[in-house]
Amino acid sequence: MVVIAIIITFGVVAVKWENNTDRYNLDNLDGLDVPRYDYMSNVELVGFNLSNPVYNNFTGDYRPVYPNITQEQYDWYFGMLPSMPKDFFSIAQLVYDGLITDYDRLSEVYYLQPEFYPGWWGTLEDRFANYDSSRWTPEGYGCYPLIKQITVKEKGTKAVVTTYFKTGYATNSYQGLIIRPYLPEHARDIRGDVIFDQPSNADRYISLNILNPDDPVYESFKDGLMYDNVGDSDWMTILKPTHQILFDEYGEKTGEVGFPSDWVRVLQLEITFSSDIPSGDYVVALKVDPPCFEINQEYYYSNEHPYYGWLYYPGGQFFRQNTPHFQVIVHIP
Amino acid sequence: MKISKTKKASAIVIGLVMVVSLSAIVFADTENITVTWVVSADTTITASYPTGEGKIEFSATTGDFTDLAATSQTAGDAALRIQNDGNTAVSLHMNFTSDFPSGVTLVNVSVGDNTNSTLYWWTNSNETNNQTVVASLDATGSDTEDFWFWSTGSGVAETAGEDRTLRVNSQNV
Repeated sequence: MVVIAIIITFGVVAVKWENNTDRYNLDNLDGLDVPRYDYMSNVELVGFNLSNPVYNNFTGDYRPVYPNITQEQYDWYFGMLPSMPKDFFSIAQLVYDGLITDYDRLSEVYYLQPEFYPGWWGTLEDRFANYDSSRWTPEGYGCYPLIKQITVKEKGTKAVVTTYFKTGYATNSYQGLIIRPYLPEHARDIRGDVIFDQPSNADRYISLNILNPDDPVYESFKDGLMYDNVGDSDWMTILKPTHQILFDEYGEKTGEVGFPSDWVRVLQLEITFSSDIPSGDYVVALKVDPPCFEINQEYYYSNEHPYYGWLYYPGGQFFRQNTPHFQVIVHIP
Repeated sequence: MKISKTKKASAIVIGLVMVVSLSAIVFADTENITVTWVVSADTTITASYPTGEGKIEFSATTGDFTDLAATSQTAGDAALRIQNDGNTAVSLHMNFTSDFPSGVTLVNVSVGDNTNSTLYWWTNSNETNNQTVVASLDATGSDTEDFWFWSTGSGVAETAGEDRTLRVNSQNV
């Protein structure tokens, strides 16, 4: 049965790529399982470049056989990740299609694989195997998916909405980031154009909190800080490098290190709805800010706890997106 | 995410089939909500600098300088490289978030190569102007764009360094 499912999956992908008719059906905006707005605004997504699962003798699992990648490189880049199961491609496609949405119940054997993310394909050779030793890549992060649309069944309840928060490919630093939930003024489509305005006084009816625990190193020094820009509902985190070159004491390369076992986190955004929230559509989002000077100094210099020295990089400094990193469209019937 | 009726029907079949082997497939994050739509876009962007640099830096030996190249920038090694790790093409836009330090009159950036064939600039009267510097950076896993930077100044006071933020805005296109 699994094999049949995979064959069907690829048939679907082929249809998607061979014609351009897979646009939104906006005829029935009031029903479930349809987008309430035209989120895509004619922007094309790159889908998966999936293949039938083939046993990989290098890795002993179903990771794709990449051209020109040696046993040693497989060990370097993927050695800290779980084995890739045979049904990986079917599950990745179901997530992409929005048919699996409760990510905190999905096993990490799927979402920790870089192949789980459609932007990965084509990256391994260029950014890892043929890495540019003249470059230093300190900043890169993002969420997958970008937007979730939810319907709340009952007012006066809490919901936990999840997304995958991941490090960019072949980043070299320990990125310090503050992820903040907020209620934006507008909901935006994928281009950043406004699709509706946030109802007035939304903050009276909705409160937000990220459930992921703050970085333990930050927890160890935060009480001693003169100033701290991490709020109670924020998430202070450290993203580990996804690629490092190792050298011996003579400066000779001894190896490489790829994806750590926690390079993707299931970000859990708790949304609390008051019992008197008016019906309508609301928007909740995440933004990323750099830690303040005092926090950065601790990560750079302190001898009181583990720190990262020059490998530490305060992320979130200069990138901004027209669309928030993660956006939840909330429908209250 | 784009989904046709045909595709959706097929995908539901897949979902039903997979329930046999994966009992965790359900349609909500928590019990009191239903996730009714997902846009499976990934907009991850990464930035790199020449090894040894964590920012775009201009290091002048005097207060007067013309077309001073960013530190560690060479003809073959740009001061900034932006890589699209996501699955949608993006346009890139840049602006400074505040005025230049006193005496700095110009920052210019050459996009794609260092020959100034595609050149953008900010003067000390329009630092915060948002300029489109890349119309479309594709999403095929390996697409990058390189940026070479120079600066010009006159009578710039000696300091240990003053930071300004160059804001890079990406837009899915």
